[in-house]
Amino acid sequence: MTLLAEVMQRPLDPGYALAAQRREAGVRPARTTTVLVALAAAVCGLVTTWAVVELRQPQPGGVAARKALETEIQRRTQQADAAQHANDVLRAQLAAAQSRSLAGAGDPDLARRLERLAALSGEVAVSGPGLEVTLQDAPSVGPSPVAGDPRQDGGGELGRVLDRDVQIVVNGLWAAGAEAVAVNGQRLSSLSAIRSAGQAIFVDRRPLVPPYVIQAIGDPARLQTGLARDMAGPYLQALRDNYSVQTSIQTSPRLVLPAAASVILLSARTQDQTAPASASGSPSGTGSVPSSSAAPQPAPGSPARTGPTAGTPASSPSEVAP
Amino acid sequence: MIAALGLLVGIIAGLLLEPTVPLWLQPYLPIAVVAALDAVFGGLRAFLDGIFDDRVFTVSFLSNIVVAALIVYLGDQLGVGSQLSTGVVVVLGIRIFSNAAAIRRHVFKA
Repeated sequence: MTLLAEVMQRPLDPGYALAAQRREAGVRPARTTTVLVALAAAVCGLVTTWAVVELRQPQPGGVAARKALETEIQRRTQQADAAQHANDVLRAQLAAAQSRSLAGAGDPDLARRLERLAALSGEVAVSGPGLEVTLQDAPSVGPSPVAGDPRQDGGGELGRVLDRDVQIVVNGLWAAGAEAVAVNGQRLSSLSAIRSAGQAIFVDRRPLVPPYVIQAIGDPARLQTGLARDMAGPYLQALRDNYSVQTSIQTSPRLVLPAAASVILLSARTQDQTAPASASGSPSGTGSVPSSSAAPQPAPGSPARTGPTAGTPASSPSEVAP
Repeated sequence: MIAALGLLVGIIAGLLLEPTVPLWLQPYLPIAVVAALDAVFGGLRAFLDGIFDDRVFTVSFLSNIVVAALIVYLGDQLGVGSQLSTGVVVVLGIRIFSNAAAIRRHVFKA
């Protein structure tokens, strides 16, 4: 208790009183003492200031890691943008070369067909009248999914627009006769995927930021009635009524949809190639089919070996033997 | 007064120079700052009492910081680091409060 009483009642350092007494007695401090005191005071100030400055910096390790991640993200995004740009340039060159060669071939019908297919597959940018459907999270939903930690939020907020909602609207638009669809400026091709990871919605693995604007090109009136008659219209109504998701549908006289980010060529064939040509096409896939069908028809024995499938492996003699 | 000048020089130098405090010193920083605050308030009160002394101020400042750091170190070694830190902060906090009250009486006469 004496300790606490000491602290409470006599907080001033007794040294000050002693020093005052000494001064009254007429003792002056030596010159070296004064210099030492000044130096020590400077050191005290320095140390304290450093300590304060150091303490005011919020967790240098975490900050550095965050900075590094941010710069990495920015660098990679720039790389991806540059690659995308290069891709666009190359595709434009390709399209120009294609149209040149088609013009040289003198087949306007083929050129028209190609144009139409390119527009439908999302390979080229298109423009025209259409419908615009906007989905926005309910106002009760907190910060954007990008800012929140998906693991902490748990994903239980009902007013949030889900990948399912976007999928249903997009499918409804296709079913209503849309010729081209884009979500937040990202053109959909027949291979596009709309998925969610955490609470963000991704189209072709690119994250979207709400509001979600789904643009479809086609006859606006037909699209609107088709959407209302289809499953998507009642679904949107239910979203609005039950979860207060904000939705709006409006027609637009002119929409411009960009080309899809990646269009992959999966199969190709020359134009004059029809059914018989497929037999001579791929040796591995079609080779075994004629051999098995040809085997029962000729007499067993030597004729089978002189047939068209002489190059096939040992499977055909085993079928011939019985 | 020379001590106050020295302190000022030190603070300015500390602000201008980039501080790189070694990692092993980090746990002692908060308590050292509190101790330094205690010394500053004590010095201010002594100045208002008219008995300020450079030597006493500097020595009390230095010893405050060193003793506070030492107590935290000792506590860490004994496994009672956080409790001892709390104790030091409580005692120094009481002293800072009563010194601040004395300064207030000097300044406002109330």
